[in-house]
Amino acid sequence: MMRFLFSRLVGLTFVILSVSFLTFAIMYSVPGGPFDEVDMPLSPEAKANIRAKYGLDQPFYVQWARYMLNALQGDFGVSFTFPTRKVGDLMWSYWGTSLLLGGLSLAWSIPTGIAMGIVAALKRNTWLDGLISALALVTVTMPLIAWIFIGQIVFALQLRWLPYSGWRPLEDPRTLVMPVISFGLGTVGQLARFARAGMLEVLGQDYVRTARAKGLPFERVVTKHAMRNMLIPIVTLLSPIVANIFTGSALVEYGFVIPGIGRFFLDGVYGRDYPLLMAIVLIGTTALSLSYLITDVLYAMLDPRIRISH
Amino acid sequence: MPTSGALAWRRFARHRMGLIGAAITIGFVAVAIFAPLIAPHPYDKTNLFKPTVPPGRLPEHPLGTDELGRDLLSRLIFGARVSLTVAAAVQVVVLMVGLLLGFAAGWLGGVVDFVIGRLLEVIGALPGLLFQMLIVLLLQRYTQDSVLVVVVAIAALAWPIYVRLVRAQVMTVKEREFVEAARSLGAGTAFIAVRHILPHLTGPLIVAITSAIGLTGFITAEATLSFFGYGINEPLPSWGKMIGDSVRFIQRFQHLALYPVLCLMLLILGVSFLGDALRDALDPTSERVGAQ
Repeated sequence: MMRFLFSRLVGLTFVILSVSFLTFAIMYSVPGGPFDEVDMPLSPEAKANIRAKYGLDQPFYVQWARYMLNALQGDFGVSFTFPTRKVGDLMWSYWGTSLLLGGLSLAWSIPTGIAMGIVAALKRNTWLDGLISALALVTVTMPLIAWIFIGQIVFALQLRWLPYSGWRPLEDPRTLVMPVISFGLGTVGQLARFARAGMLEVLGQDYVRTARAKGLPFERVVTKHAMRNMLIPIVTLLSPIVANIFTGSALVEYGFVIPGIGRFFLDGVYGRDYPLLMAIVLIGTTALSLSYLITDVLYAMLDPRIRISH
Repeated sequence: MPTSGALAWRRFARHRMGLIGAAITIGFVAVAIFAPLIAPHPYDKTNLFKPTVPPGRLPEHPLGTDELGRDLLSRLIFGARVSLTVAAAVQVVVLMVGLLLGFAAGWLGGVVDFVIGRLLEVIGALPGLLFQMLIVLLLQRYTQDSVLVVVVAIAALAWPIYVRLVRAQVMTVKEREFVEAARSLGAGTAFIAVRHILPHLTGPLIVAITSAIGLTGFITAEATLSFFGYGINEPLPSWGKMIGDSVRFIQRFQHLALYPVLCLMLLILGVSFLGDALRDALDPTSERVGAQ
């Protein structure tokens, strides 16, 4: 177990370093920068001064190494678009919003998806199964933009049931409805399909037949035997889904004008705010890699048949 | 005894949704191919005297016009062409890279497999949307062809899953007896790859192409990039861009957003249902049809 953890942590460090290096390199080569003199012309001396202050006169691998060393100590630098504030502080002020949006979305979509999958498996080959499978398929492939705009046009502009945009969780909870639903739809479909397949597989196992043969009622077999074993593989699917909420959803936050990390990140691309983008990339990659590692460990703990090998 | 192809077709034809999906998909492909013949107006012809005409107001603009007075129907029709061109081009690139690297990793193993594996890990961990946007910004410096730029940006991050798929399949098939038999008869690697391994790949690849990791994913990616303004450039129409541009007017002119959204939804629906039916048809062990 320790050797496994060690080798995984080495791999994880390699991935995070490579991702940060690639991000840094490609941002370095993209034209345009924070001091493009669109707003005000600068004298060459002033420009050189600013570039020296932010360390932009160094070769890019030196800039990268310096950035990473600082980031390791929790210092993500100064944002270019908000020069008076540290990236770390800015992130904190937007993060709560994204985590609330993501958390609420998962809170309804995970149970709904799993329940839909179980129902579809139990009612296999009926119209209900067909309906659930079709719905699940559509929510997996349908672009988020489509849900967002259909929702806005139908429920906000035509029916006027819900506000068109905004995010005021306490003052007007109705603003939460459309963002939370649209963000969770993809998860519902993914989980429903996975749960349906998993349930069907488990129901075909010998121990389920044995439990039935010894006279257990079907409902008890499902809740006691089948459900537990079906839920284990779902852990693997959940980890990237959970990790995703750390970087927010650019589309949902942009579409509904929500001040979260995803929207912040779009502004960062537009303003070439490299320190900000690097911070978001680092946090997103770390969250994703860690979630895979945690999944593997959890998986081995939940299912004694699985032995970790290297 | 019917051939496996005939059996697959029979299973496919039993899928009502699959047939509907196929019809929708073929319809969009036909519209895309014959766009210049079907479209009532050129997609880039502006008329500043007739901006934002609502649908049904003028007979020559059945779906109305956009803020520059361009015919919405014509732009939707050419938008289908842009959307499908990008998706198909990404698919071809990604398939070729997937086959090449997947074969290399699965067949050669060892160091090659290790290096490709690490590469896949890193690319898979990159934040997708950010990198697509950065690649678009980077390439715009070298070419004006926004379709090419978008294709490269989407393909650059989409190939790893195909390498994994091909690699896994190659590794299982290469251990089978018929490969050993072919080799003992003196067959070369290239011959075995094309004649013995490739046929085993077509099923899984067709399923991947019509699923969320294939065409529907690429259609979505193009629409999303164009929506944010990092995709197709004017005057070419893209549904995603049309939606993005309409946000400013959406309170007063909802048709500008509604029609491209509906086109996008219908196309995605069609391809998804087609893909779902194909998956059932190509996989004889698939339970849904087999249980009937």
